[in-house]
Amino acid sequence: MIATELNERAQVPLPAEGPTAERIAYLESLVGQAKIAAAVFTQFTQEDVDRIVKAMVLAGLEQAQHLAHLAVEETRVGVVEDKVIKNMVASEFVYSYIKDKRTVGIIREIPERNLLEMAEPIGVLFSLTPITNPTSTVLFKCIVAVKTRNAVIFSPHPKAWRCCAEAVRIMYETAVKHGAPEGVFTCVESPTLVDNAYMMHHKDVGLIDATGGPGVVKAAYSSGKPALGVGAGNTPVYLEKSADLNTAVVDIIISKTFDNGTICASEQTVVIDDEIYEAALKKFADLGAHICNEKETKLLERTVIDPQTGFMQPMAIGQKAADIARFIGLSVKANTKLLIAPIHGVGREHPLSVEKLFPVLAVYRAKSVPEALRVCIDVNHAGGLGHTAVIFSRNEQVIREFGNVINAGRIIVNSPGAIGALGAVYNDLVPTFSFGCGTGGGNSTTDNVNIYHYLNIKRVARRTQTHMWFRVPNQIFFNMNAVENLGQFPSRTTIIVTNPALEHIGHVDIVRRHMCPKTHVHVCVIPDAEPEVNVIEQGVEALSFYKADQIIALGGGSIIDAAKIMKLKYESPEADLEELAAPFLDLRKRVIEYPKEKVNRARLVAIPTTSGTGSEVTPFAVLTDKQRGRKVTLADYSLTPDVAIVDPQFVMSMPKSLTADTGIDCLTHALEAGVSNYASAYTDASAMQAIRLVFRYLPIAYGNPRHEEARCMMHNAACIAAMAFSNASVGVNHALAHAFGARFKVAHGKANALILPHVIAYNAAVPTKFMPSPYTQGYVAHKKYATVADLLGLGGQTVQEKVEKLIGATEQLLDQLGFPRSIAELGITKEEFQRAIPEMVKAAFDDPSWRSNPRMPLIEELVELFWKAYAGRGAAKQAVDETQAV
Amino acid sequence: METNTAFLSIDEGNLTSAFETAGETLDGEPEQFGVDLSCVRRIDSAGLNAIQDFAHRADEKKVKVVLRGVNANVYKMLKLARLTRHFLFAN
Repeated sequence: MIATELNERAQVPLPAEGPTAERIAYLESLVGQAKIAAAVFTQFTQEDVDRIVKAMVLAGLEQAQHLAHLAVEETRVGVVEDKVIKNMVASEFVYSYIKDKRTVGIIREIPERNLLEMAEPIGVLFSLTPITNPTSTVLFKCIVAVKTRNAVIFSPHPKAWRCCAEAVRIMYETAVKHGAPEGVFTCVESPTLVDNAYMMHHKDVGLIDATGGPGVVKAAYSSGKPALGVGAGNTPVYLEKSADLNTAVVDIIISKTFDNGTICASEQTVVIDDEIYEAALKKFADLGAHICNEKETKLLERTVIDPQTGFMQPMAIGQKAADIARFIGLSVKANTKLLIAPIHGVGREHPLSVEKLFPVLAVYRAKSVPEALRVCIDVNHAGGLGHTAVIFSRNEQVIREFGNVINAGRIIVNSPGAIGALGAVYNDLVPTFSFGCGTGGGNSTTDNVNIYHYLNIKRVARRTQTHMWFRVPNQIFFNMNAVENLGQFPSRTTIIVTNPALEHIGHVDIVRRHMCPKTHVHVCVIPDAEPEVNVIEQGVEALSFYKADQIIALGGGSIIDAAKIMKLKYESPEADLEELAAPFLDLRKRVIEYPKEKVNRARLVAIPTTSGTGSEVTPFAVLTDKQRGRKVTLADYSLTPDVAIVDPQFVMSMPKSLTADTGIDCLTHALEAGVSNYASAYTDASAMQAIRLVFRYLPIAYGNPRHEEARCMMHNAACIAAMAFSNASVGVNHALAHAFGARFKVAHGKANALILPHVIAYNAAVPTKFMPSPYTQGYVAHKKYATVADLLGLGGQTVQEKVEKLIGATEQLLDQLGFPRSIAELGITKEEFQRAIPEMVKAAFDDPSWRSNPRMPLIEELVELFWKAYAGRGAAKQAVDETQAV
Repeated sequence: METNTAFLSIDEGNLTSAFETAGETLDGEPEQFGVDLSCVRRIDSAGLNAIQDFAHRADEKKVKVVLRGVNANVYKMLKLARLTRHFLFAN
């Protein structure tokens, strides 16, 4: 739509006063009727509205000619024959699109996403309609409104009021006759700007649907109401040299002369490639266009464009080319269809480069594709942003480039712009009489407005059963002498990654004995500490040098972690460890992907020599970057070893303190995986079994290190617990232990031990803040602990009693293993601890371990937990007593 | 204490006329007016207009109107017509 609308309907300043009391009563009566109609409409079924819509469409078709005559008589704009077509398109083509669409109740079911989409009518719409397409717009809006069970109050352009009111009457009477609620459509009599402003701010108006110039659109959007504002255009056309010239010229003439160019999607400036420029103009001339010379172009510029505003002159809108020519004193043939004016640029100094809703077309000769695209962009930005653009070309690359650089809701290819944009005739666009122009045009949508813009679409989202996983190494061999199974893995060259002590006590020799006889074996001895970057680099160098096809990691968690990272870098040298360590919330949605392409391949066999970390089956590895003074935690299932050999002969010589530390680490893994938000039946089975084994065998292994069965069961327990936490993750205990252990250089197992009873009490209480989790049904942590207590035969009647028993049993186990009862017992002063608290709490809160904790830890709660651990074990029992049972 | 209460049970077929008649009953100025809508599943424009008139009249007379057995669709319609504030609702 057009600038004149803007001038007449919105740019004129509003009178300071609102409507008179009498006028308000009138406007209120319209809203009142519409409100009742909209309310009644909510009870209608799909069948009800479809029946009414069909009758309305038939009435629209029947009255198409009558309404076209009325429109042209009243507005003096356009062509009767074309307006008949418009009315028919607004009825029949729109019907064809909407007839089978559901707009009541459930409109779409998406079972694979567990979603239902349901329709909710908007209620009362206030609709402004234009002078250029008056009756067709009314027919369209009435049909779409009934299909969506809405009531509409129309405010037609004052110069098209009578024909619009007649269209509203025809639609209303037909609709009501077929069952629509009374008052479903009304038409404001003699509407004024003041009336429109009143209605646009009315509390009972749900949506403003403004089809008109930018002023109307701006007024609608400025009202604060939801609005569909659909405004002006300035359609650039690129006639590219590969185009079918005959089709292009005919299509442009069809479009630009249709209803004398009143459709705002019609062509405004045609940019023609130099190579075909002359031929194109000749073809235009042959088919009835008048090509203006320079003098005639100047005359057109002065007359059909307002020199003050730079917009088109209202008197020219919708007039025939020959009539415009006659009026301005331009001599043309009587049957001239189109006036074509060559221009040499875009902007105020080239007046004809703006929107012209009449059969005057600007043409521009472009020397190259880039120049043509630049001019089209300029036209697009000269009042046509978001609206429509057209290209005639057979060059797919140019078509795509045009689509990329032009900002238009509709980019019409090899067809007439105006009719193409209306949809459903030349293409599969949704049929409409309201073109959304996106933010470029000050609109909320770039769509062809139709039924879905007249509906609130409600989505019923059922809880989905999220896919979970249980991923462990392909092969796990366990029990005494399980290392014998190494022989079944052929290898040309194997690198054994281990530490000096293990080589010294003969563990490497044991491994070598059981390998395939023809394997070339090299030993890579690294320090027994969290691996550093330079250690990894040395390992990767060795792997590359020997072109290893197998890596055997023989050692504790650090050695196995080192081997995992060496394998990663050996197979994918481009892997950026820093980037791979990027934080994530959900493994499946993480931003960073681990490399899938591999330049080398090697099997990783993990043989643990401690019973705690479970690194032989986990997808985690920790790397120390001393240069930057930080630790990097890598997590991905591609890091999981291919084979785990859980052979207790390698742990028979573990010292007592290491047995206790690693054993409690194992227990913490199992308990945290057991109550984790990611826990599943699969991980529960592993976690529960590991807990049972730890309570039974850890004290024996600790008290009698050579006890073969106890060592074997603890070694299995560590592996089984790791299978659980590899898939269910750990929790807040680990977050706290990591922070505390790092700050005070306390062994990981000991740090876990000092905190564990307090965390059990914490998780068993009513959370201050629940952790959102699609994996769990309700809060179950306390019940899980009670189940553990039952499994261990600890007694207790209620859940709370059982939790207390579990805490008691855990504390007893810790005492048996000789752990200190409090952080204070480590010799850390209160002041020292107090000073460390902020740093530890920050580190704990940054730690990803707690993300799967059943209870979301608040920062102040982390502080409290640290202090409870500082105070000692009695505090855990006290915590249970103090907190409300779930 | 005895209250002066009027009752009305309405069928879908006679809803409009029933509410018009009920409006006249309000002239007797009962303290409370109970309307049973449990048989009403759908209301047309005329019916809704009659309810609106009745509601305004009841407000003028300061009569408390209790609607009983209102189904969710009818309740939603009354809500959209901004009429629920005129009534009390009972099961």
